[in-house]
Amino acid sequence: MPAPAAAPNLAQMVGPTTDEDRPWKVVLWNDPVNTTSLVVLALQQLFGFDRLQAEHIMWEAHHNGRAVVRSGPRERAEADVAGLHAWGLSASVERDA
Amino acid sequence: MTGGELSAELIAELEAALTGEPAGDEPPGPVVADGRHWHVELGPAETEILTLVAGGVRLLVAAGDDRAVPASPPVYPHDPARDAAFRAAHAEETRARRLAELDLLAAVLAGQPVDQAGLLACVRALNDVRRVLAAVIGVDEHWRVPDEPTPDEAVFLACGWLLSALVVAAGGPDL
Repeated sequence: MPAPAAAPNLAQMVGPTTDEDRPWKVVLWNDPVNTTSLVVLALQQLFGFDRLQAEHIMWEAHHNGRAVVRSGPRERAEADVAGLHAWGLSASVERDA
Repeated sequence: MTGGELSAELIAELEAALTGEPAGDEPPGPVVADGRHWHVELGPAETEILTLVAGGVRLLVAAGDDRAVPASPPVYPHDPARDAAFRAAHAEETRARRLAELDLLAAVLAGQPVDQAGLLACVRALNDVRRVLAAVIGVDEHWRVPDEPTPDEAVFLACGWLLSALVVAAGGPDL
């Protein structure tokens, strides 16, 4: 009876994780000018959120000063920020912890 | 930015439109739906003032004037070089989009109907105008609607009033 095969080393199979591999968070910032309704509409239009999802993110930014909209590759995060800027919203990107 | 260009009569009409009590039945809103299109119906004073201000913002954007770029936090707070690269990469596209949307807003204020995409573009353009005005006025988290608004503040409030109507017409909430 052959000896059982050793478990594959998943870390070796997928390669090392670098900083660039970590997802980037799209952060929406609170601001004193944009109206709550406009922010909700923008989030619905840009990300396809339903009203509850969009309102949740808007209120989180409103009360906490910031809210994470979503995470993903850097290119998509930058496109998301550009989209938020087009609606006049304040947004930034940062690495996921 | 706008005070020296507006007559006292226009300002008085605008303030009356903003603060006056409707007589009898609630008047129709400024954004009128017609099938899959919308158009804006404003009084002559409101139309003139908003067109004037939107045109002023367009001139600033076209000239690359810093006053047309309200302050916003860095995209990469901990990486100034990457932040500058992002802004440079998007600068021309942003400028062209803002100009196109401000042109559309001017046409809509003049009575042109728009479809859903045009309505959303008008929302962005009017918000653009409103944000530039907010920077001129110095709107911050402590700012409150004044009892006696200055001309700039009156126009800022008018922009907010029309913006709310446009947002609702575009399917946004009435919060």
